[in-house]
Amino acid sequence: MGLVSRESMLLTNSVLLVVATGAVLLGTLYPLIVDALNLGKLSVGAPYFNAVFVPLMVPVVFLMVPGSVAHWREARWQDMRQELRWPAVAAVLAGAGVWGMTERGTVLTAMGVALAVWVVASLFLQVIARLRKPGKIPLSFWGMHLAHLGVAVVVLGITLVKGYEVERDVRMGLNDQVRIEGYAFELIGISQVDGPNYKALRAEVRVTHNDQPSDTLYPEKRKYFSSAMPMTEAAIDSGLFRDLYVSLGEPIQGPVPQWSVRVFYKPFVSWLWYGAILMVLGGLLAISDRRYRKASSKMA
Amino acid sequence: MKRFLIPLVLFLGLVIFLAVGLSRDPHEIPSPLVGKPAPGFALNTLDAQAPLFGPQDMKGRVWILNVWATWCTACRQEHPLWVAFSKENALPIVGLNYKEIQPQDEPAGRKYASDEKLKLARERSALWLQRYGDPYLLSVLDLDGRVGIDYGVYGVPETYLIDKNGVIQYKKIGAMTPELLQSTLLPLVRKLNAL
Amino acid sequence: MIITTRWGKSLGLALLGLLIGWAPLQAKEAVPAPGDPVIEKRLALISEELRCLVCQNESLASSRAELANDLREEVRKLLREDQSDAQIKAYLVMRYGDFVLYRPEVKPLTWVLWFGPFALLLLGLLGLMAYIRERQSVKPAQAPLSEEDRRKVERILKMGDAP
Repeated sequence: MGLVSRESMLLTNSVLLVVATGAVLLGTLYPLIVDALNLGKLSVGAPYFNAVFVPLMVPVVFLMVPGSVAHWREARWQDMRQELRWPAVAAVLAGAGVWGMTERGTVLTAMGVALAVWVVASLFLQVIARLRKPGKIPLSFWGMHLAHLGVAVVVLGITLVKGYEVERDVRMGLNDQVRIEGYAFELIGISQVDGPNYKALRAEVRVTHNDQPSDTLYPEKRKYFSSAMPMTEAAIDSGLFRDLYVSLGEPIQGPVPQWSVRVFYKPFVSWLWYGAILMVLGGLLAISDRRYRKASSKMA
Repeated sequence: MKRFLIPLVLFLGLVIFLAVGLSRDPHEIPSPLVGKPAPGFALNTLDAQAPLFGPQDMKGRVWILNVWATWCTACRQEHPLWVAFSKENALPIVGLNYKEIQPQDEPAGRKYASDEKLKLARERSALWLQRYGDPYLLSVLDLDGRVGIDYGVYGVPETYLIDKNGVIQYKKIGAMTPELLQSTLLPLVRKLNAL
Repeated sequence: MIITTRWGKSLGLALLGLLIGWAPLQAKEAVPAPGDPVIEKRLALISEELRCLVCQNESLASSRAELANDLREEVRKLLREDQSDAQIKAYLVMRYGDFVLYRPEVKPLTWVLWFGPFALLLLGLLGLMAYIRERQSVKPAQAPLSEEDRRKVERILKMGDAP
């Protein structure tokens, strides 16, 4: 096996994935172990996982592309260079565009978008090139590229939602409006509602998109009879390209009746789910390739 | 077979840690203030004629600081324990009445002025103590919760044991139990009193 | 005098109706929660890294428990006094312990946590290098392919790219 070959790239990614999984396990179990050893109580949260998991996964996603292009046993740079050139150009352009042209584009956002474009551009070119060649295309080929597409979709979803989400924490009286990215949220009414085991304060929030009526959301603040703490039932409008999320808070003392309301605009957050589904489908396609099963039955 | 030995050992180790973890209360957080001087304050007491009170007034004595409020149901559960305790022991208990006036108590449309709040808090607390018994040497009123933050209060009732030098020696989060009183608190009190 | 005439009353009612109807036509922009935007931005960043002690699965930024409101107010006060992020975190840790930090401090107790993954990565990559080197030194078989093997190879190559 050559130092640079399909095998070595697959193995490198395996090492990275195992370490990333181990890091998540370590971060999850650490507070428990420290507490069980009577060494105190500490918390391990999002800041730790972001600091450790992201640097481990970036090379994985990056290597997916040369890994899918490299020859088995020995990969030569001259062979790969041709196939990697256009995806590299597309990725750099996309990243630069995000960084330079959008108001909130940061280096991290640019990098995430560049990685996703790197993967998608390469798989697109590989699929087209393969369709032009004669011969049957094995299922594992489609499986690999579908799964890689799924990874790119997840990376894009995470990057865009973290880079461009908007949260507004406001006081709303009746008929007050909040505007985010072309969406307008108007508080139409507040009512008391009785549930089977709770009493709730329910708000009616009308949403319009570019002044076209969109949806009506009903966030609630529930007081269950069995508990002293009020529970917030947020209202979520899930969409293909964005999620809208409205959360009702406490009434505010003042001359005019007002309520504290939190409104969230989360672009592309559903893509985390769609990407995961694509990964699963890709995996299933790859497994169902008969060549793998025949080979194992030969060994048995 | 040997391949499975290391993962098996690791897994068993994990199970042991998880089992120990199950026996712990996730809500109880050890206080970093144990072993440190009790943070100072000067608060109004229930007695409108009395001067402001603070932990410096208890120097030279071993004493208990019990955080309570009339809106706190768990406090009502532990209260008889303190009432009985105060009758049988000479140990002074100072009450820290925490955020007595809640936002929902405020009249619609405006906020209470601070002297209004103080008056209402005194009335409500006095009534409550009359009804359920008063184990306290005195009670101070932490109306905005700032002293609570200094003491790391996050869920009433909480109880602190403070020694003659004003150093916090013990903290209990949640309602005090008779078992804990006998097994941990009283022996510690005796030890600190002997010093 | 004008108001008492029937004409006056109608006009008055019309004006009143207009005033009432005017309100929904002019949906007001909701007022953001009051506060200095610079302070609020810093508060948002710091409170994402702090844990709510009451709703322990939420950060101080998102929790709406009463203690969370009080602590956010306390952090605002410290921010107005120009305290740094590190000072504010130390203030809270002094009162509530390490539990309140979502990003654990790097100290001997957490060395395994922070450096473990990268140590494991180093080990993994070194092991990988050793494995690849070993495989490189294995010489491929020098014997020529038999006829049967040659036909098998051709069949496989015709099936298309190996996965």
